[in-house]
Amino acid sequence: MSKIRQNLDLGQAETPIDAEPLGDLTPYVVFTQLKAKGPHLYAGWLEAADDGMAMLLAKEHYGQDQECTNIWSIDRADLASSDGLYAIENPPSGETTYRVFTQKNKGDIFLEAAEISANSAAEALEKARQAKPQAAKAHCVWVAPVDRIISSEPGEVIWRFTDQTYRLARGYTRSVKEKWKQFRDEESLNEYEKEDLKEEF
Amino acid sequence: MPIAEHLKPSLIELLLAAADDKLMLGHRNSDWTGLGPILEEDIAFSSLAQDEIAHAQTLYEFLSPIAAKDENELAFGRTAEEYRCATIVEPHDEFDWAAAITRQFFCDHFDRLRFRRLAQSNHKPLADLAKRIGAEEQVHVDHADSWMRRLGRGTTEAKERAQKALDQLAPLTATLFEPVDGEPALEKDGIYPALEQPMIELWRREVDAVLKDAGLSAAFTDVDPTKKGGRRGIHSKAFSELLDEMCEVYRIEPGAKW
Repeated sequence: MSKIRQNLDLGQAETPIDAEPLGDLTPYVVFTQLKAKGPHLYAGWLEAADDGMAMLLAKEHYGQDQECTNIWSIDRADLASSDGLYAIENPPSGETTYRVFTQKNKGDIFLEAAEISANSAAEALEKARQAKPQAAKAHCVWVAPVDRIISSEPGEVIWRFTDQTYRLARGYTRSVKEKWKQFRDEESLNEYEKEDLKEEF
Repeated sequence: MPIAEHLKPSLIELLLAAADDKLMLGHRNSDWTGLGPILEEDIAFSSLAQDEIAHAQTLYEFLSPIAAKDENELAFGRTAEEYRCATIVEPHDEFDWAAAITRQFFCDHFDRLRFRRLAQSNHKPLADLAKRIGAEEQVHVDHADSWMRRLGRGTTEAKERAQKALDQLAPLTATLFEPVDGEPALEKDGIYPALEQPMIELWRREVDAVLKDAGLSAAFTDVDPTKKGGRRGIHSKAFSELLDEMCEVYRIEPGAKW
């Protein structure tokens, strides 16, 4: 980054810090599938202006740092949860196929568990609890209409080939450890060479 | 197929042009970290800047044994005249989001075609590398196209700003197409094979289609073969300043290990 940033006039905050949030961005939840035919796993949330932007950003944030085969993003308004935290804003009418995601224990990540047909999100949650063993014992269950889940296209490149794991905690730790090892090895070599030279001369 | 000895200097020029474009663009765009228009885009644009720098690093590593220079020396240890980047990647965008996106849009479309050409190279290690970079280039193109459409179809202010950026940057796109010394020989020998049509025509068709869809337009200028520019070491004043700052640490102790 260049020094030009130091001269940048960022101005004053236009709104007080306790103001109500403004804007037209919508929260989306993102799931990634790490292996073909494997379940989609909760990856995180992001905010986007629409479905297209959500998928673009989902690929950038959650796809590119680890190899994965598919990505789903779901508008929060299309999600219903068993704890009542989320409810579908415009529920589909009639019988609909819902995808079920389960959270085994509080704090665990949500996993894709099953598909279920129901006439409402509440019915889908209820049916999932009754029919699917993972959902029956789960701490929390989410359902979303299958046709409202945005999916990446088959064959799309959604992870990086260049190693940028230094941006993640695990990559950074590995890199620092390697540097320390290199440093210590170099020091030992210098000491050895000194001793070796002493014997020679 | 191994590279003939007499073609190596031209190949070095060609790959330095690609790596230098990416290094400078990534360096410029990394200035947006923390300043993007929305949080998510801030992260995404910073990631794209890191991609550009990572691609540059990969190309310098590839070049290292051919040029008999360490990749850090290639990236940071040259004089301004030894860099081969196009003029369009040199100026600062003055934190104008429309300018940043427009430049990225032009360069990403150019790079997608450049790496498509290199992916057809008869030198397999180069073709393999170009295929990998080219695949990631598609992600960049999708991102830039999406933003051009958003700006063009957005508010009046967004459209005006995007059009202003296009008016300013379109004349500089010719600098991307300035050939490096020895490029015809690389093309003839199959190291940098030609595409089905001249690259500049394919590029203009691609970018024009997106701009038309966005309700925007650009007036491009033709490449003047007599005018020497960045590909042959003639750079703007902004470039010298950029380089001095970018190489500040390296120049304190060249060859230092990090």
